[in-house]
Amino acid sequence: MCSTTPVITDTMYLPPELLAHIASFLDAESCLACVSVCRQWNQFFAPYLWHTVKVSEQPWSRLFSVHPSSSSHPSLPSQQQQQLLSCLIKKYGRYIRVLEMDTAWLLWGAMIGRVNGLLSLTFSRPSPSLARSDLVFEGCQIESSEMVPYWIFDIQPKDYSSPDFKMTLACWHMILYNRDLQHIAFQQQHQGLGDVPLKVQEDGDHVYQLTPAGKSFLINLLSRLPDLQHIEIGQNADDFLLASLAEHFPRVTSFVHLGTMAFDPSVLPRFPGRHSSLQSLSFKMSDFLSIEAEQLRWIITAFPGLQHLSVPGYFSGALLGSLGWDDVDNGSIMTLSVSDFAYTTMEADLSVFEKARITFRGVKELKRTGEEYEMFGDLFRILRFFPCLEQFEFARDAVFSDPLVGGSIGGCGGMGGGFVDGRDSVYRFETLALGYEARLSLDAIEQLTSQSPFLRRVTLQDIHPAVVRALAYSCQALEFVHFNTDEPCSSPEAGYHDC
Amino acid sequence: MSAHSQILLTSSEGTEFIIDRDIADKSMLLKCMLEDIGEIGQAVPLPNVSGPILTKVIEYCTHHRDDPNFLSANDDVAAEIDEWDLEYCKVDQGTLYELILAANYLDIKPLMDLTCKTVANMIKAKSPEEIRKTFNITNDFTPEEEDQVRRENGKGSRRLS
Repeated sequence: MCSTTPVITDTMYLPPELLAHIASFLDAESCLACVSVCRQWNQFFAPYLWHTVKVSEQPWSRLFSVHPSSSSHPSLPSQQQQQLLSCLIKKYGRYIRVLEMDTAWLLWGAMIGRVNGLLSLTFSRPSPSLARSDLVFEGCQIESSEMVPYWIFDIQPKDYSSPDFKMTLACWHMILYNRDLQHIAFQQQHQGLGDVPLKVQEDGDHVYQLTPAGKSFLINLLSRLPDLQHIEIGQNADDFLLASLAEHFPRVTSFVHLGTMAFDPSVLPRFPGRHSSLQSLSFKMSDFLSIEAEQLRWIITAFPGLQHLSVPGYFSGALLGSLGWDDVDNGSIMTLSVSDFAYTTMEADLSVFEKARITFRGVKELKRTGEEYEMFGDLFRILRFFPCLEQFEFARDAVFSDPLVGGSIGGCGGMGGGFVDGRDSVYRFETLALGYEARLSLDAIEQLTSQSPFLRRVTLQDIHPAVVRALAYSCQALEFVHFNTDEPCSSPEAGYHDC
Repeated sequence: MSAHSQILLTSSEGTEFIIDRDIADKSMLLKCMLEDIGEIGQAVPLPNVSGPILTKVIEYCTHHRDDPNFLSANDDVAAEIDEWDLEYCKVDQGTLYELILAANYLDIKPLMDLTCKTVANMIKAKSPEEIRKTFNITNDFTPEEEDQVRRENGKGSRRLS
């Protein structure tokens, strides 16, 4: 091949593995254009286009939208649309590996048996604009079901024909046909594999219950997936699945508990088998509830390899107490997320820390996800119980009442036991960054900086002489100060102090 | 191994190129080969790479000679291509394809990513007709197939404006 080679006019000149590399840089929208270019491109790009299907995103929402114009009156698709959807799935369903869709979506019927190479299946919240009702789809009806028998549900025969029940069956069938699944997630609270609402009525949801036979059927179904790693199944199935992880799912590393009610450890085996492969456990129940000490104790005993734990509600003293129990090893937990610190900081709860002599020797990241008001001073008092804390995050829009602050504080690696309460506190942070939205009174910044002799990096919103003085006076280790100020005539964006 | 040792390469036409060892090491193929058999003092034949393309490849490796992020630079799929790389890729399509093939053969992942990304960018945000024009591809769909493809794209039977 010399430089006089004639112009190569076709990308197909490249071998498939190199075209695949090019395809890996393309978004779905571009792949969609590519399949329309010519026959060769159509064949080549279709698997890339169909690899990831997220029904709510372009181009899928455009491709699959049934009645975009009549969102207020969802109705069934026309015969023509059904045919097209059915045809698309028939042709391309086998290429889908990652599927994110609405449980209330009519495409279900068409997908059963035709989509069978999934690695990840996510059921997201249903969009109200889509027709949820009928699963009767040309050539694919879920009627009598030998694979998923009706008797595993606690349901009246008159409800067998309800769309919601059919949806439940469809979900179970999807899993039956996809043996390579690694990731299953039902992201809504009232719909899951174990619980699909019968009807949404004025007095609330009527939920199908799983019979004991249904529970063992579900365990059976899921344990036939050899690669399953992530389970996020739904309210009714959560507790017993969590309890059976050790026995039936030794390779699962991540579990999300969606229940809306506080998790009840009394339904769980008294001495659970130890399941050391679980690394991440997340409870997504209401913020108003809290996991009790007994429950948490069960979790920590059952999952000795846990690294990331996310709990709902408040960070109660009882909760902390349980983590600190002498006979419970919590050294593996590195990330702890809670949605509400408010109760944590009450005097009574703090005294629990004292009594229990708690140290969270493994926790490096503490996250707060709620949006409640917090007492800033109290917040800092918690920190002494986390000697290895490197990162302390709170929600971006958090508002702290006294004084007001928002941002992140990190790098307090060597905090040790030198953390003292009150006005005489010595904070061991090395980094203090107050975010753009942060509102911290001048007094507070002055107090904070004068009590943080280990500060090395500081980012502040405004420049004020008193703060600069406090910084220069008390922060001997200071290396870097950055002011995010909008005022045109103040100092430039960044200023350095070498103390 | 001496940092200043030099390697002799011959392109497909037999043209000889002398490059520094650290430049040659950017190619995993050459690096492994030199580590395995040592520097034998003979020319390394590269029968799959033409002289002009080898010149371009050497230009790339020389520019990124001291780049500490050489191997991780393109891991981010969405990352912007830097100005020098952008300019470097302003070549005709034939050269670009040959560069992809050479980068693949010589196993220079960052160059491979750069050139493939460049082709991907020629495809992005274009209609099928524009893509055909760009790559000089003949539309070989029958009218029925084309209609089918259009419907599958969620465009009904309307033309893309």
